[in-house]
Amino acid sequence: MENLLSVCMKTTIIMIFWVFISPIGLAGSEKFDSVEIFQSGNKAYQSGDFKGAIEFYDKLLKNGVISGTIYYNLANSYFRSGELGKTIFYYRQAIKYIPRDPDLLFSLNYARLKTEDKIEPHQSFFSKILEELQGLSLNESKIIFVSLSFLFWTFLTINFFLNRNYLNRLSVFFLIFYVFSIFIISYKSFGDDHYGVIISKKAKIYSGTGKNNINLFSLSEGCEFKVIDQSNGWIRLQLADNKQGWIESSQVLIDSN
Amino acid sequence: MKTYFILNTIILTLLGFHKGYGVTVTMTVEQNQINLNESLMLQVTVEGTREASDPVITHGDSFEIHDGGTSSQIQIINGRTTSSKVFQYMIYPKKAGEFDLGPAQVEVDGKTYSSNIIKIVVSGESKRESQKNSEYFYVKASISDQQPYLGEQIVFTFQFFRRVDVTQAQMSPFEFKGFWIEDLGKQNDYEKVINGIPWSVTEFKKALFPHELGSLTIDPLNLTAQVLVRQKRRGGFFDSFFDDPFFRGMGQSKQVRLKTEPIKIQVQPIPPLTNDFQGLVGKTQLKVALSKNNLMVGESATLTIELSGSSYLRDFVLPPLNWENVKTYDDQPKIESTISGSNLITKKSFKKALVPSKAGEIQLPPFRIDYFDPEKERLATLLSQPITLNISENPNESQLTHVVGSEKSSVKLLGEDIMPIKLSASEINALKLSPIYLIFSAFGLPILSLFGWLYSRRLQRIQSDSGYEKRSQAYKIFLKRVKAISSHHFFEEASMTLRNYLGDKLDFDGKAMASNDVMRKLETFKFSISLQKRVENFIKKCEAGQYGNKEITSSEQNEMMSEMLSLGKEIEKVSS
Repeated sequence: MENLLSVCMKTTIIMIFWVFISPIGLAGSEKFDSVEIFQSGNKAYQSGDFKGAIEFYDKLLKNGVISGTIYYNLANSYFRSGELGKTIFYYRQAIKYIPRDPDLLFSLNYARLKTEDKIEPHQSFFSKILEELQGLSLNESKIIFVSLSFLFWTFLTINFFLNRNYLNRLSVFFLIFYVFSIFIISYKSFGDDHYGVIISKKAKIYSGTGKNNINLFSLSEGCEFKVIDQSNGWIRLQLADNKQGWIESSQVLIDSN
Repeated sequence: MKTYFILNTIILTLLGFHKGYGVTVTMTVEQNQINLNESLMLQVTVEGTREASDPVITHGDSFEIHDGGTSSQIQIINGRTTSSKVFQYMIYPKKAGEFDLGPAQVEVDGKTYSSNIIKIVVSGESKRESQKNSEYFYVKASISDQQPYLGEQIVFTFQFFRRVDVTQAQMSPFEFKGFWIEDLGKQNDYEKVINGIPWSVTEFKKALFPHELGSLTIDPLNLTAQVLVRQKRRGGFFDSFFDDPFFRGMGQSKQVRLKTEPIKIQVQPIPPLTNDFQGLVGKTQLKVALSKNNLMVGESATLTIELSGSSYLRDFVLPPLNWENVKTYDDQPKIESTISGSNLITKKSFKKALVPSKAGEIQLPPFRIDYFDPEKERLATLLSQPITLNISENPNESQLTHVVGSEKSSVKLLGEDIMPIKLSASEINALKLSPIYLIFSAFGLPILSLFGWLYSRRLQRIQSDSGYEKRSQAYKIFLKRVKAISSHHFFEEASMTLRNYLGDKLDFDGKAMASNDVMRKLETFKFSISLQKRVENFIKKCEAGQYGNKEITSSEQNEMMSEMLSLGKEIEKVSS
């Protein structure tokens, strides 16, 4: 028992050191000329060189500088270049990070109005609830999870020593939200729809992988879909109205999560 | 020698990879005599490179060529490396006769290489063979009406009948030129008995709406499939079936290609109709409903106009509504399709928000929709009931004037655009939660909480049991005291150390007790007799040395020390 408690104390000290000291070290090492490249992208955009702007923003993303703002500016650059499919794809990427940004929501809706295909979605009650969760970014969900986790475990641990009724109730209260936050973060990380967007002007959708299958229907640039399966350069897609088919992967951009 | 061999192999392999090095193109077929309904496997082998372009095969429109995949090979035989690329195709003859297939041309490094030419003899399917095949499998296409009116719904049915096992059935791409197409349910599989013989049938239907006048043709639909043939068995119930000449000489499976007959359709024009006719052909129904009739100026009510029927409604648009003192705002129309009998019924709903701008009673004229009824071959008119709106004054009307008032007009949007880009660089490095916090929350906090629980339990035990702390620390203190025993007062200190330890461990005052008292206590704690004796001997030995002023030798001291430590260890073991 004595030894166990001494191990506990040492582990606690190491953990606290690791959590509060290590992120500072990590944050310091993540310096890349991101601000300069970002500003160069903005200058290119403002001078009408949208292809140049795309290159700058792409460079940031490829170097791991990922943010909703970069995706938003990249989408704007694609819009100005007349590539509607890529515009919608990158606006949707931006939504993951800045889901309530009014400029982004307006621009995405506007870009969607420009698409040719009108698809009436079939929505279940459950999918409507999940849609509400789109209002939280993954980072925000993580912060909520960490906060609730801290509150729950702290109150639970204090209650071990003080054994008070109100602490007991507080622990249960935070436990409920803590479990809910686990659900949200799991959904955000793994359960979110694997989506894609058509980037070619017109795309044929086939009944199987290969152009010798039946051409089921055609889709226009900017049409959004859910990715069901992938096989040998072909993607099985599902539209919001539940229509399904296969499309060549060169005609789409898909979210790799 | 070994190194030389490896180097040699690498150099030869690299030579083999060199583009265009001794490129040859060969075209081969498994047989060059086939029937019209059969297919042929064609291989184009490009040797000497693995980077050839896709072959272009000359075939003079006598064959249909379908891609069957590509493979690459590298072979090292006796140190010589050859690389090749093989393109496979399925060839379907279009007509009977003798035809040249090839040459196949490929491009390597900008240079074109040609293959050999193969003669293929396509014999027309004999009547007997065709009849024999159709006894086991055939496809059929039919149409509900071969003389429809322009825009009238007709139903196309494709059926695949078979009474042998079939795999990999695949339809070739098809289109219906001159028709709008709508799906008519899913593919349907069922059994059908024809003249006492059960057939498996796969069927799909399409609703077609001709949009071109005159003679239209639905081209043949092609279906390829592998027909599985069982091995010949003796004495079985189905022997007579599998002994049929159709299966003789066939292997395990055979690829067949089935074709429907082309269907000729004569599309008739619609007789001259009124100016209000908007091209609806087929029985149609009209429903008009208003969400509320009594409303105030500036308030809105929803008007729903629903058209349903067998006519083609997808492209149908309502004529513009120009009503005095009522503004209308359109919503996106909704389309739903259902199947009734063997026909497709489409329902299109138009929703409009009506906002009155003046108080009083407003009569909305009835809706009139004309359609052509192909059964009765005449125009029919749908007329809704007139709608009366009772509009009262709105006490907040002054606030509404900027929207619907007549003096001021709402701001008109001249154009729309996306929002500008974000310029602030601070937003690109937004606060991101380090994954360490996540890992700590998921695993670290529960572990820390577990430690807390263990520690709280210990504290509780100390509080509820006053001797617990003394007992748990006894052995540690005993070991410390043993180390501190001096040789000067060895017997006294050794006796005291052991008695103190026993007292702490068994919860009595060991210091104040003589050896006899200690032994009585040990009896109550159910120590083994041998252990009791060892303790007694040790204490008595100490007492004898202490009171007899005996000098202790270092070997005796070491012996007693090890005995004391051994006793401590054993007591600790027994008491815990």
